[in-house]
Amino acid sequence: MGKVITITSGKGGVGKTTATASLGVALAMQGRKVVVVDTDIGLRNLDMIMGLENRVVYNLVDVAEGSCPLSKALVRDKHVSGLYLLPAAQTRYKEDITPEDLVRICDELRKEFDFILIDSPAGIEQGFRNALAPADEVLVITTPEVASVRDADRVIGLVETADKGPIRLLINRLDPARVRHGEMLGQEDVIEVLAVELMGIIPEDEEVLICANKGVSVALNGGTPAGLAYQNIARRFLGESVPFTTLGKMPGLLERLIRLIQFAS
Amino acid sequence: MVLGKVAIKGMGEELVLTLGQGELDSLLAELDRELEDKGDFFRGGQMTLRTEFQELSSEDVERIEALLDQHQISLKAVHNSPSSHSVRPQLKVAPQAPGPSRGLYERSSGLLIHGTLRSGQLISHSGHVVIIGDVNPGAKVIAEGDIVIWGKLRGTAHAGAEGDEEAVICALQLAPIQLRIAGHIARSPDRREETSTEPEIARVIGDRIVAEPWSRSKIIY
Repeated sequence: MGKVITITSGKGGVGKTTATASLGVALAMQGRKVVVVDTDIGLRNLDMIMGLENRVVYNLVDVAEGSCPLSKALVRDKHVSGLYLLPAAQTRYKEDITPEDLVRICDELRKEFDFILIDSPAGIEQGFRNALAPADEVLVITTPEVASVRDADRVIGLVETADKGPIRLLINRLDPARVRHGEMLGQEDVIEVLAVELMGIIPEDEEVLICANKGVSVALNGGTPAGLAYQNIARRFLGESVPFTTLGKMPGLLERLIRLIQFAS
Repeated sequence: MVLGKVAIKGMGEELVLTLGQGELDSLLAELDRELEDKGDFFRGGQMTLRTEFQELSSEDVERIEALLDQHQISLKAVHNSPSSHSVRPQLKVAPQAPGPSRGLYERSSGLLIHGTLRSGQLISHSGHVVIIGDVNPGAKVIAEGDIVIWGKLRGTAHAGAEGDEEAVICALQLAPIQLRIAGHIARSPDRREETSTEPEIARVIGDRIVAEPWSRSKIIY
């Protein structure tokens, strides 16, 4: 039976869709059968990022309404075998499907796939509740910014209240140089507030944007820092214990102290 | 004596009432029958309620308490499911006897919460509130009595919400966005200074909220 992982963040623009696509690619590269489900109905993006927009015929709402069989709506990825996309509808609204619809569809997908990755829309309304309903696991994404961490905390609270989990964390777009200069929250600061298990850290990497615009996932290229980070996360999801790559040189306690003293004097 | 889903057992000195899984209405009906049956066997006693399998809201607890009250039994404490992560009242201690009166909430209970309060979560209680865990930014605690946080207070706390000027707020680390005691409001400094890492207690002195390290506090209880 496949595992349903819902990828969510509360705040928009932190990289949910990119992370869903990249994690899907990375898991498929490990030989697993993966389907990524776009639940951002009305604001469909996942197909674009994966470069599959021109292949979409049917969508999630069609399946929910029973106007097409599930197998017909699945789009096969053009880069990695074993990866499929269940696209969202662009001309409909979040309210057009219910949490029960998604649970039913995911139960069907579980029979076929090892991993079902659900790309949740931003916000905590109906779209988020739809995406959360079938989850076996929740991956919360945050960037090291106060607003993003605050919204992630809100979402974690809602997930806990809904009795869903385990909840794990992915920190996206961490820039070690800016952390070092005290211009950005560090991973410790984020984890200290959110207090959930860290699944991975994606370093700030311009390749991510370049790849997304080309419709090619960064995870295909393990030579890029972000691509390697996604491949590592995929291996962690498969139960391997992969050490966290040190992002540049993180300042140790002593360095922080020295900086503090310099700052104070 | 185990009767279906409601059980009352003596454990040492205390009476423990265990509720199984099911609709609260039917559990209450069963409990009512059970207590009716035993007549005045339990009368005047104190019970601890344990619910291993279901979550109770504070209204649920109040309904159970009211039913026990009808049979002249007082509810001493509530232990909710220990595995629960959600923020719900886990232990509610009714005062044995009204203590030194602080007036407004002497008859109400304390509320103990295990776990972190996250952004958007609100705890509001008519007595004292104790939290074992952090209160994150964006979370809010409102109590008519005192607020004690065994963890970091980074959200907003309002003690003495019905006007008790003597209410206090204490935390292992006091770094709130805003503190309120009765009608007084203190906000965090706009420029984030290094917050104290030692436990602090905040209370109203004069007409201002003053926070000071616990070790140096002159409050004597």
